[in-house]
Amino acid sequence: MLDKLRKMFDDEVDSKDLAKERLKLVLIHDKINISPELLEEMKEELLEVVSKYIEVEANRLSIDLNQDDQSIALVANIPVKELRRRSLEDVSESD
Amino acid sequence: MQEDYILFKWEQGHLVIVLAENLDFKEILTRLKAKTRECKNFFVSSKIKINVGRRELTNKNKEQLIDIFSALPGLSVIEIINENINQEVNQEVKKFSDSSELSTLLLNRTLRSGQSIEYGGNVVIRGDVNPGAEVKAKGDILVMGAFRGIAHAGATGSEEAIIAAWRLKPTQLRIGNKIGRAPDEDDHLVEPSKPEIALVKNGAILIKDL
Amino acid sequence: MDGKAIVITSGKGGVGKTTSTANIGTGLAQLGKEVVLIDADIGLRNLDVVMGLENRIVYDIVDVVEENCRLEQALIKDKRYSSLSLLPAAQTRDKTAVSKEQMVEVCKRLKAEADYVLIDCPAGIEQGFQNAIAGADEAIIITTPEVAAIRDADRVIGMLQAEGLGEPEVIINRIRMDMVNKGDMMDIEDMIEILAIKLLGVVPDDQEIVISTNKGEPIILDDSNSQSAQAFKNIVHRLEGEKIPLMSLEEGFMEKFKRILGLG
Repeated sequence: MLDKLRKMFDDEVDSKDLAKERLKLVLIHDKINISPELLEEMKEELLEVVSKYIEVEANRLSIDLNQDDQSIALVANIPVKELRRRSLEDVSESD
Repeated sequence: MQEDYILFKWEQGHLVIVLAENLDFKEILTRLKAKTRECKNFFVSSKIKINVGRRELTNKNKEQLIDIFSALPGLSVIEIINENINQEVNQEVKKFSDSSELSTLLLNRTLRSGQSIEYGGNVVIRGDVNPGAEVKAKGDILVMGAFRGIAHAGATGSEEAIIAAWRLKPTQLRIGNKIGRAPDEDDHLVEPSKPEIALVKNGAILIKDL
Repeated sequence: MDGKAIVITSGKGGVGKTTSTANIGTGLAQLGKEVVLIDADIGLRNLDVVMGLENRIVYDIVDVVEENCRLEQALIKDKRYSSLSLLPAAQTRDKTAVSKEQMVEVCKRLKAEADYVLIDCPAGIEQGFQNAIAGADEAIIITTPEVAAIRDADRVIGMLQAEGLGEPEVIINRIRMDMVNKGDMMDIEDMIEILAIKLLGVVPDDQEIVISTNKGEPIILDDSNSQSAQAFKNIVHRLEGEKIPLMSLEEGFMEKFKRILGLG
């Protein structure tokens, strides 16, 4: 009972959910054969490209591989600080 | 020239290894060891016969030979053949055995599951024989330890052969063409507390005190 | 007769392939089916011990393929059901002693005489596995609620699909509902979602299985109706095409309710 209550109020994740998440990740990696290092490299490059256009919170960037029934999707979650309105800025500078 | 000291050939599903008679036994062992190390996968699951020609081997020699192969993966059967088998009789072992015309192999070790010994004579084992291990002998089988595996004495059909062990708790016994097995109900099974001997009497395998 | 050959496999070792093979085979024989069990784990045979038939082995599958004996001579009749027999593995040989083609041939000949040929597959995905699945028409995957076991099961499902055994079904073994209820073990839905194959049955973790294995008597013979015996009976009926709902493995709704309320 106490266990149950503690879990309800804590943020602590059930170990089964942990297992499930780890398993999903492992299986996806098994299938697409991308090493974590490679994924990290991809993340860096993505960040570089995206930062050219918009200001992002680099430290909150996350890249995940998600699987639904048939396909695997690469999901990049990049929180945006603000759009660099480059064209506008360009105009104002020229003024 | 060196190649000729140890000869490999296939004969009726067996790998026969012929050891030159005129080379020092120690030298033979060294060369054999080197050869087996070079191509250890060659020996996987083969039935091996080692032909030592007219060379007289002590039991220690035989063991050294077998040890070379027993370290290899997946090996199943080893047999040592002697072209003049009568020369080779060990007095110590002979005491236990009636069939004096057969040679006797003495093994100083425990046979574990999956290991098997096949020998064209009597076999004496100073150690245990565990479940899943197999001993097959043309003559008698004598185990100075607990016998829990499968024994086949008189493998070429002789029902005169015997199987004796310090503690006889076999999975299965075969003598000649007769087969006996442990009873299904564990409850009736009394742990043997004495050395016992199995032999064929009135067409069935009988176990009694040695 | 023209039966079917089903391979029982897992990838990971120690998840209960041999126990499941023994129980499903015995269960099918209880229904009057002609069943042959093949121990394909050459060099590490175990099915004979789980069935309590180890002291009857004279010839084995290697003797059959090397033609030291006829196929019928190597088949060991079960103690309890005459329609059940075992083709044992060799203990003193290794996986290379039987080829894929020989395995296919043995299965073909056995299928001609039996309703079911169940093949107990060795762990791993090497030659022993390849041989074991070669002669099979269908596959059953055994897994346990652990990350490593499910990962291996997923790998094996992929390999089976590549071999044309496209629709394997899964048995989830050793589940502990007390742990599932506390959130400490993946539940059935989680696992099926990940593996995306059909569920054949769920077998609870049961210490009675250890006892039955000690005795060499498959648990399905047990009349006391332990949960695991019932689980295997349900699996057998499902194999026979009956629609049997998953049994409730929870300690019963009321008890669970009580436990949540702190009364249990």
